[in-house]
Amino acid sequence: MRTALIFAIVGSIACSGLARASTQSGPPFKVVIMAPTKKIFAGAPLELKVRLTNTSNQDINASASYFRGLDASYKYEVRDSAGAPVAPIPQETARPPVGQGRIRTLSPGQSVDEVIVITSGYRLAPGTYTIQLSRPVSASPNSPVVQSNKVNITVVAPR
Amino acid sequence: MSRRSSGIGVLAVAVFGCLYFLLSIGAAVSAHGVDRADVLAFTNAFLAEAARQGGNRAAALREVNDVLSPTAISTRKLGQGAKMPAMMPNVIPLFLQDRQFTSTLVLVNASAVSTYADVGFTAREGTHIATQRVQFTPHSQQSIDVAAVLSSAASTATSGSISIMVSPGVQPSSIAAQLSMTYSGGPDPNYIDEELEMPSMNTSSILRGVAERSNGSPIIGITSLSDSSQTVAINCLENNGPGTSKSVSLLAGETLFTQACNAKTAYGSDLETAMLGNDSAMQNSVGISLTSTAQPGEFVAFGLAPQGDSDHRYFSGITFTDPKTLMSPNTTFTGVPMGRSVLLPDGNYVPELALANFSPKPARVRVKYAATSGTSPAMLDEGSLIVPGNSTRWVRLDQVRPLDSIQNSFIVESDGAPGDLIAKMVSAGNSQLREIELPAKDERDVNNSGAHPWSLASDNQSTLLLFNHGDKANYVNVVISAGSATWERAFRLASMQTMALSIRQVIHSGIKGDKGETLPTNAVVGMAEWFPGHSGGVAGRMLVSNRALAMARNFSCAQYEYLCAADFSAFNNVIIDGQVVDFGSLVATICLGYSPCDKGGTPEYQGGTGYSYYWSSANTNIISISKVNSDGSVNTLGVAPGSTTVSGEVDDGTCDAEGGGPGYVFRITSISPATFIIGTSGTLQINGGGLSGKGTPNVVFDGAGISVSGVTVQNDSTVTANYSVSCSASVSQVQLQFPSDDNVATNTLGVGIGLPSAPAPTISFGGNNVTGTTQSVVVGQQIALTANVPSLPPCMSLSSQDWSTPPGTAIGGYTNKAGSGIPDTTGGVVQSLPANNTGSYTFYWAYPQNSMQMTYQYVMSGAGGQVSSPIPTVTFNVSGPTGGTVPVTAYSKLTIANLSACVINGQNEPAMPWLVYGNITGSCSIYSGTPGIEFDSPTGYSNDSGGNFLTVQLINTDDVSGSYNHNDVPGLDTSYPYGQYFPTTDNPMVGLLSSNTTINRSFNATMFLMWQSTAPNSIPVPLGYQTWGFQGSANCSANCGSASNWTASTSGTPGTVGGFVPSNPSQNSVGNNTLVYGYPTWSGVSQ
Repeated sequence: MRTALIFAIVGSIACSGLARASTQSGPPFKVVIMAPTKKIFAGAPLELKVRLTNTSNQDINASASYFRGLDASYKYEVRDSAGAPVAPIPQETARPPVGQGRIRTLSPGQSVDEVIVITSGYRLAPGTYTIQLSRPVSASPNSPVVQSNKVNITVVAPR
Repeated sequence: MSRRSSGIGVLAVAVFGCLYFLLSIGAAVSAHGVDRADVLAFTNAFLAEAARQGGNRAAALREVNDVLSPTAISTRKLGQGAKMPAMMPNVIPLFLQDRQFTSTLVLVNASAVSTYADVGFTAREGTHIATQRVQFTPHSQQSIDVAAVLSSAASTATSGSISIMVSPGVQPSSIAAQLSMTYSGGPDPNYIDEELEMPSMNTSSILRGVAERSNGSPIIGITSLSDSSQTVAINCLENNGPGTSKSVSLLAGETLFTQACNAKTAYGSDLETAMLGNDSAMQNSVGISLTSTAQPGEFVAFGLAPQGDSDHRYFSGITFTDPKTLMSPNTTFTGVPMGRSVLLPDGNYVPELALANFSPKPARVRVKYAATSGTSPAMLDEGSLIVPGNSTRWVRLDQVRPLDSIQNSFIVESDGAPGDLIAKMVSAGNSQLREIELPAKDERDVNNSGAHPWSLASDNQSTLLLFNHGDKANYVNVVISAGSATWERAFRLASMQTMALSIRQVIHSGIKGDKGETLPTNAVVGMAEWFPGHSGGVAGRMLVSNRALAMARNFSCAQYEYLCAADFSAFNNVIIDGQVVDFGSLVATICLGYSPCDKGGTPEYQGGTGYSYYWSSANTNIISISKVNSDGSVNTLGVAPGSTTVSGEVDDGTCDAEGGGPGYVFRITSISPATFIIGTSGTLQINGGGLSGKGTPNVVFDGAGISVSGVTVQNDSTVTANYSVSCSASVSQVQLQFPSDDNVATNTLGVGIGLPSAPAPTISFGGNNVTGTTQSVVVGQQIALTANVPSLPPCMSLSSQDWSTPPGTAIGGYTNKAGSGIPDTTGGVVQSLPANNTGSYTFYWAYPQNSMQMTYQYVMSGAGGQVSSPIPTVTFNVSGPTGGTVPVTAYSKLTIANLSACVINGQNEPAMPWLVYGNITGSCSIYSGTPGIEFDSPTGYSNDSGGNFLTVQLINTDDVSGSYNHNDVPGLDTSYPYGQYFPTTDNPMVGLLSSNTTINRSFNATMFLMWQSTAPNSIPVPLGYQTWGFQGSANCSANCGSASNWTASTSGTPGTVGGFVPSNPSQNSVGNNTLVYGYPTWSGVSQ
């Protein structure tokens, strides 16, 4: 119970901080993605290393919510070489979402790395893709988002 | 080094009947201290020179006699260097060449040198007819047809004498001759053999002969060798005592015919005239004695004894002997035909013996028959008889039972003085060949050898007959010449053995000599020589016969041959220490001459068998005599390194000669190096003894691949050389070989070919040579070892290498499924150790442990072998975090969370209730609150600096049921790693759709704590794990889109399941997941 209270207090502080940061001194965090492998065979997992860094001067909510390999705390923009967005793998509508979360808070300047398997949600045919992640500053539906850098990935047909 | 002094002393020579008699007069002349042989030679030379200068021969002879007087001898010493001057001519006393007689002179050169002889023919009245020079090659025969000589000289002479002067520088006895006369006055040819005589002043003036039963008085031809007249008294002995006596006058150089046993002498008549009125009817043997008033050696004689009646006339020859030349009273007869013989006309042959006792005392005579059957002799006593003084006897030995047709010999022994009893034997036949005359030989004849012509012409047979009448076995060396071809063989004759050797069989049967030689099958004429190995005791003759022509001739020229020199031939005069070798051999040289053992004789032959040999070493501490062989060779033993002289002496019983040479003993005892390493070069050293003084040796290996140069004999015990060993060298022995000494080689030493040592390798770790050190590392640190192999020796190549298997728990890595990177969603795999047969080896230790030793070794190969390297070692002390744990905080129940909308995997999820382990608020993507389980920073670990903790979570079970059913397969939770920060949390959640009414969830997972060093290329290692889980459900009866209508229930106590479990290598599973050495492994993400 005591822990829960601490989380609640910290979360409240973080939300207020984020609002200030977003309005007063830019995004409270930054997201950097990196593809350890720039070229993969079709069908192989594409992992992105995601580093979330608290660039504000107060704690931020850095929780993660994993559903089938993807962290739902990020939005994913996967485009093919023509710039067309790649649709995610359709989910079974009758199936309830089953996931797990990690509740964590980043202190100012602190970073956390995680590995996100893009191919858990996107089926990538051979081709070249550009991937960019974005993360909402808060849980609010209208929360501004912070975009990551883009990485280019080439998917080749397996030999 | 003479083993003994000369046993003969001073000898003089008298020669009669083709015989060269050596008379011992040492007692008489030794007091004068002069070599009588040289005196004799000087005398002969003097006479010859006088004759050449046309001087008076008698006067010259008298002058010589003056010289030979004791006074003269005592005052005239002949120096040792005096050369052998020319000799007096040898003489055939009588030749006959008329209507009934023909004569052929057959000569042989017994020496080993080419020479010539001047053959002079003198008419009966003493006038010179002709001189013919006859050239000889070594060991050859020549013949002269007397008729042709007379014809060529337009001479009307029908009789006379023949003189033979041998070329200067060659011993006169080198040339032997015989006059073969044939009488054709009867119905069948009659063959008469007259031997060459060599007159000498050192004999007497008496000649004696005996004839078998003569039909009428024997006719004798007396030839004067004097330049003045002389008177010859002729006395006949008959069966009943002394018979006719008379004297004849003989002019200088004249040949006078006279009937010996009656008063008739027709001076100046020819043979036919001299025979007229020969009407005495003698029926028994006749002894004839001639005594001249001239000096000894000034007359010679030959007689003919008429046989048969006037219609069947034939003659037998009478050979005269100077009794002074005889050494014993006994006479031998060799090879007497008896019974029937294939060599002779068909008939029965019986020996007949004529004896004349010229002494007034009766002579007791014993006749011994030496019979040989095959090669086995037997001596048979055939009885004895008394020959009264001055009487004769004739015995027909028809009671003798022969064991062989030709291998029969007789010894006639007398108790008289030498020369008292004169014996003659013939083999009388009842065929066309009425008798075969058998030459008589003095039993102690010092003429110990023979040289005879042979002929196979006109189907002749030539049979060499040899008789060993000595009391011991003896070798007889036979040399048969035919042109330039020579056949040599030594025959061992037992005492009293007679041997018949058919020349025709030798040639036509291809009988091999002792050296494997044969004579050409087309050989027709030649000569045969023989000499005993041990001087004396052997007699021999050549029987040339022709069965169809009823011919049998004897050639029995005997000579004195002696051992005059010895040649030493070194076979193996360099001996290995301790080894017995055939050191060398002495080969005897046989010479012809007057004086025994005279080194200046004329060489006749080299070789022979039957001598005695004596060998000695000058230093038996270096070489000792091991064995003296009968063939003249000697076996020696090398006793110790060094050199000395080995000398030998060959002895024929009378003379000896010496020879020998240096001997060297050596040995090699060691070599350095004893093992030659392939691909190397250097200096070798061979140690031993006796290595100097034989030139530069070759260092000889028994195989290929080692080249040697610069061989140097450092001293007597050391030889050095440079060597180089090829990659393919293969040898096992070495020896020294001396090219300048007939390539004589030392003993061998064992050597070997070796492989070079493998250079010591080192082990590098982190770029440093860590061989022999102890390195401190941490768990998960990459242990990348590299072997450093120095340059390999020539000829060698690396064939294999191995690293030891790391002790403790070592793995090849912790990777993804493909092994291409760190673990990921495709898999987490513990890699096996890599192959350990390369030059590098990389692995990781998963758990701390000290004294972890690693080794390396390589093997190099070459020349068919391989060598293992030394083994470098490096020790590792592996440290790592130990002893800690992970504090865990678990929420007590499942709750219903009303989370706002979010986007999940690109799909908008509306706000909805969630069954959550924990207590959270916010959206489904970003929320806050209390997690279901929280793993705080590890505590209590020691040695955890220099690395970071991380977590990996494996889902064991995650079963959702109720309104929706789904069971996750075990596997990785989300991604690898689960987290790298603490606390790390988990709050499993499931969305509750409005269509749902009941959702049950059973969840079980294991969180692994791992640690990864910050050292480059490190991998995580497991430290321990904590299993946790929960069970619960959410239920809704109506309006399930609203969270308030859902009720969460929790089964049991959610949270940890058991305590924190430290990792260990034996862990192989947890829940439904597989562990390897405690490592979490998976093959995909749990879903």
